[in-house]
Amino acid sequence: MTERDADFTAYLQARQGRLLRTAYLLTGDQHQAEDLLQTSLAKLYLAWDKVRDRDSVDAYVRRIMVNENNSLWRRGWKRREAPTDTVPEGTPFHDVYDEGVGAAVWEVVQTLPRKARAVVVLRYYEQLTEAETADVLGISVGTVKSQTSRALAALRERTPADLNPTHREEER
Amino acid sequence: MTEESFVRELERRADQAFDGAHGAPLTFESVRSKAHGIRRRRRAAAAGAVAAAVAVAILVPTVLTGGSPRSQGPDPAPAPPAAPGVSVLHDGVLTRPDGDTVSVDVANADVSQLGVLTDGRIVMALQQPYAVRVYAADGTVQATYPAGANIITMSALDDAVAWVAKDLTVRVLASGSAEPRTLPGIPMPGEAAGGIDAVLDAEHLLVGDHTTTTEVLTPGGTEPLTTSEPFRVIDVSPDGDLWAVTFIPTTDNEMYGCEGLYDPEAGRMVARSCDVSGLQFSPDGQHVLSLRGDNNMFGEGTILDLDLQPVGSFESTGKGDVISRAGWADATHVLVAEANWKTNTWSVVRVGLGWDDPQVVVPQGPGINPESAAYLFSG
Repeated sequence: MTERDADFTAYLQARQGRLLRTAYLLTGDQHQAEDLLQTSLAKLYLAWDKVRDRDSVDAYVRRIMVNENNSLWRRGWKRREAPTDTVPEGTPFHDVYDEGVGAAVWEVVQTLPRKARAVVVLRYYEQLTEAETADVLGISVGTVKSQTSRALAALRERTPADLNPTHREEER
Repeated sequence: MTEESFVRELERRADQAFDGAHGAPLTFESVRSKAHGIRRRRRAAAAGAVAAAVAVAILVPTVLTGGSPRSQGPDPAPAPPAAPGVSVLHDGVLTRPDGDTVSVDVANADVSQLGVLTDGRIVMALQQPYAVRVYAADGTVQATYPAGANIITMSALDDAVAWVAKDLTVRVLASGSAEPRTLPGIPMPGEAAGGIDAVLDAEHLLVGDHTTTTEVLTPGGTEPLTTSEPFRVIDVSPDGDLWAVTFIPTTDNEMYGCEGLYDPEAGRMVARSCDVSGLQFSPDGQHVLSLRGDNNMFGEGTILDLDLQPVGSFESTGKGDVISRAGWADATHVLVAEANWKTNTWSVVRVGLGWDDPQVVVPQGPGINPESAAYLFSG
């Protein structure tokens, strides 16, 4: 194995678990997450010489994942989806894990438009700053703020009262 | 619900999804195999001559040794694709990058653009009336197609060429295909004709309104192109990983505007400069050539790295010496048609990346007014 491939393999082994979870939160589907991660890592492999010495390999692969997932033109199964700033009243997808107190949160996350969901995942799961999130998504910090605000407002509206921060603050 | 509890729920959900049987780890082999597939798709339009050559290169050692390449150890990283160097049309003779020549019955004054496909065919955009003419590799006319403009767009690997037909549909002629394929028209208001900014492959074209690249055109129609900011794509690197783009000129840069290099996978600009124009990728994609000028002549020529930092340059002395045309001869040399508009003299030289070590290809001699191109370069 070449040094290049050994470097890449080390990165793959160290980071794929976390990246797979991010892919799942972006797609909401296990199989799509695995496909998304494999494609994104393959593209990372092709670009490895350009990015391997940077400190920002994670940021680079996150960008690939988000762009791949948001892409409206490369994948037929996404073609009919149009990005929007509003949160639609969609019917959430239910999977076998859909029980427990987190179900309501997850249902709302899944109704978010793909780009808004990416904002939420990067800000709250990947713990990126607003500026880092904006950089990964190629949008302004203001858009990150507004998308986050809308997404959290939707969460407040749709999650049960005992999970709603407004209610909790009133109880105090 | 606090942010902490929200984050906890996201983490719990993601962990649950990949506990147990789910989330089997990806192996290096599976990722590399996928990478090879992506690389193959990117190069799909090179299926003709280029792919055949690669297949032969792989098959020959396999046959000789009795084993598959995989059985002989790990595959090397995918080799980066390389584009051919420029061909030059002068006085009815086309000179190919390898020095071979072919006679073509056409005057440079009638040709606005020139391309040479990897299967050897020569494609020209003609003036008055607008048409696209295809010549066989031996220089005989194969077909002439009425066109909506005197413009053709070649793919980065010269394996496909596209143009807007007179009926405003788009035609794509792929290397190895006898006839062009018809794609839908570029959506534009009224009877305006859109522009083809880049040919990614025979089935994926970047199109727009001549100012901004806005859509991807495929045989199935158009899809919106989402980019980090508005720009028009003017060239694509041989491996497809970078696009050279131009921005709408602002009042600060009204004359030439600014250009940059865009990574479409990452969706971000990787370099930007307001000192470059008309960027063209080198055949190995490691450098770009910038030409600045007007009246069909260029007073500045610069070779830059992928950070858009100059490696070598030409600047007119102000005594009439200009560049008429320049293009990549190979990965480390640029072919330059030099002219002097005061003396109407011409020469062709080949320079290195530092715009140095000039080798005379055509010695200086009298010629036409440099506002016209005595030497047309493919591109």
